[in-house]
Amino acid sequence: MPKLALEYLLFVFVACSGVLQIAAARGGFKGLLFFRRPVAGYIFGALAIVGAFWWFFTSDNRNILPTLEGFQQTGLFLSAGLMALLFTLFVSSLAKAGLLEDATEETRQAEPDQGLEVLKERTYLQAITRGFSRRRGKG
Amino acid sequence: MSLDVQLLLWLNGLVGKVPIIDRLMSGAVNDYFVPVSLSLALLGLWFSGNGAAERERNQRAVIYAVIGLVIANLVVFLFNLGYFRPRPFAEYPVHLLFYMPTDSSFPSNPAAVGFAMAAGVWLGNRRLGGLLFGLASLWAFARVYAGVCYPLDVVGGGFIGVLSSYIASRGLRLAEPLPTLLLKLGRRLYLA
Repeated sequence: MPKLALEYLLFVFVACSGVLQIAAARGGFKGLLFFRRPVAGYIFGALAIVGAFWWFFTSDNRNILPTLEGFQQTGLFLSAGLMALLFTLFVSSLAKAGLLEDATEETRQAEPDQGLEVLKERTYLQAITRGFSRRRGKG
Repeated sequence: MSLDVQLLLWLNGLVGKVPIIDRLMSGAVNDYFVPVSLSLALLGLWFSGNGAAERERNQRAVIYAVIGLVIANLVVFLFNLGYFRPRPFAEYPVHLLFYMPTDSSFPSNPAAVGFAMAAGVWLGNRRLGGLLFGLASLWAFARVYAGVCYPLDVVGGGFIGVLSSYIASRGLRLAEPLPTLLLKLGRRLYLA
């Protein structure tokens, strides 16, 4: 892979990871956060975004050729964004493995709405395994 | 000399007069800064909203923006098959702050892309949409300032972008229940 494509991929991966942490902190998605406190998510997110932009734009002159064509940028952005999402789901599921243990019995037994709302009280791994076992129970 | 060319030469004539503005425009004109910022805003918007209803509205806006972007690119591509306008640096002695693109100057692809994304978001979230219109306008302005587009190119591109996202939003309403099913699938995967 050309150096520019690799640099772009890394730049977008780090920036997307930062955006996801800020979104998780802002939306109260405890199961997506890497940290116990939302403020740490904001700080991590801001540093990741600013750091990624700073590194990408100061490490080389981006106003000269060669450049990435639009379709290449789209493909690389989607790949890096997907990697950042998977990284976030994996790391937060590991870092917050004890999330349900801290919850009250009422929260644990609650049936939250489907979708992202679930990640306010559970990690992605917990949500997936619970959803899977519920579906097996119904079947 | 047309008003379009006069405006280009006047704006581009400012290059070298205020170094800080030159640096700002050099940062804004490139192929990465604004498009990545706009795309990151879409990613953040997908996860934003107070409650499920507002989040769904935001997610629909993201879908409008993405489909609008695809339509805008297609329109610019088709336009370029039948029409070619040389870049300003090929016809006038401009001060270049950017590499020399070889594709048609009209319509401006960056303006189409930027305005399509901003308009898509604006249809669902006025506040963020307004901010993204600001970013898209900065990108379009920087292309003229840097000597790679005429003002009419970015106005044309911007018009294509806004119209594309409007068409995307209308089209998706007609395509119901497909978008709703897509969001339902996302919710089943705990990602929407």
